[in-house]
Amino acid sequence: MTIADFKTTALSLNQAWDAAFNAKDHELVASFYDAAASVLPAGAAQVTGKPALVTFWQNSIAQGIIDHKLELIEAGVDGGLAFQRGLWSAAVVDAEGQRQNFNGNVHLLYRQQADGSWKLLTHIWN
Amino acid sequence: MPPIEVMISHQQVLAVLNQEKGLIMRFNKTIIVVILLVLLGVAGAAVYKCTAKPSAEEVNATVAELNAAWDEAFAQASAGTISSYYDEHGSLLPAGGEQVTGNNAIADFWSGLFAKGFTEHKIEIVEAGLVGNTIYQRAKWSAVLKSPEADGERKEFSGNLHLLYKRQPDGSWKILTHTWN
Repeated sequence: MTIADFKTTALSLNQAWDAAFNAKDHELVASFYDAAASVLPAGAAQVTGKPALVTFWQNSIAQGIIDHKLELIEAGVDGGLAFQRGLWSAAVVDAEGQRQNFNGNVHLLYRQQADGSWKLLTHIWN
Repeated sequence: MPPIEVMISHQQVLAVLNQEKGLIMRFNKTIIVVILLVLLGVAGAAVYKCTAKPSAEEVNATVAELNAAWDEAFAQASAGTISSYYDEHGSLLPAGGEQVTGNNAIADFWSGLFAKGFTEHKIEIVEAGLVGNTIYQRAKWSAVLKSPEADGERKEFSGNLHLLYKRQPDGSWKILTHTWN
C-alpha cells in the first residue's frame, strides 16, 4: 500500500472514529482498535486490551465530551504497520451550558488485520 | 616365461588407471558437494539472521539502548546529539505545542527546553514491537525543571510517551515520530 493510498484510508478511518464517538457509541469506537491495542491518555495511565478500552471510551463519552474531530497532517506506511500524526479537537458543555473547547496533537499507529482492514495499535494525544 | 606381472596387458593397466581416476573424480565430486553444502548452510544462516524477526528480548534490548543514549544526550544538554537521533523526516508532537519537523527544528526545540532548565529526562519502556523496518515503543517519561539558582527548586514532570523508529540504510534506528503528554 502506498502512502497516498493509506492517507485515503486514514481519512475515512478518522471520519468513522469521529462519527462513532459523536454518536456516543463506545462499542463501535472500541471496535476500531486491535486486540492488543493501547491508549495513552493525557494525564492518565495507559489502557491496554479490548475490555479496558470499551470501558475507557464509555467513561470518556459519559464525561460529556462532544464534537470530536481528527485532522490528518501526515501519514506513513511500512508493510503491515501504518501511522498518522494529526490534530484533534473536542468540546465539553458544562452544567451551566458553557462550551469549552480542547485541542492538541494526536498520533495513531495502525496494524493491518488478517482481513486487510487497519486497526489502531496505539493512540496517544496531548 | 616372463614374470606374471609383465603378462598384464596394456589394456589392463589402462583399466586400473581409469578405475583410480574414476575414484579420484568421485572423491573430488564428493568434496565439492560437501563444500557447497557447507557454503549453502553458512549463506542460509546469514540470510536467516538478517531477515528473521528478532525476539521480543532483542527488540527490548535495542530500545533500552536507544532510550539510554537519548536520556544521556538530554543529561548533557546536547541538542545536536539529540537531534541526530531523529530521522531526517522526524517529527515531535509536543504536549501543548505545535508539531516540529526536521533535524534543525528538532535541535532548536530541545535547546529551548535545555535553556529553560529541563534536565534528568528518563524514558521507561512499557512495551515495544517491531514490524518490518519500524519499531514502536510506548513508555513513560519523567524530567525535572531546575530553576537556575544554585539552591533552586525542582519541579518534576511525567507522562506517557510514544516513539516510532525507522530503520536507516546503515541498520541503525532513528525516531520518526515522538509524542508525549
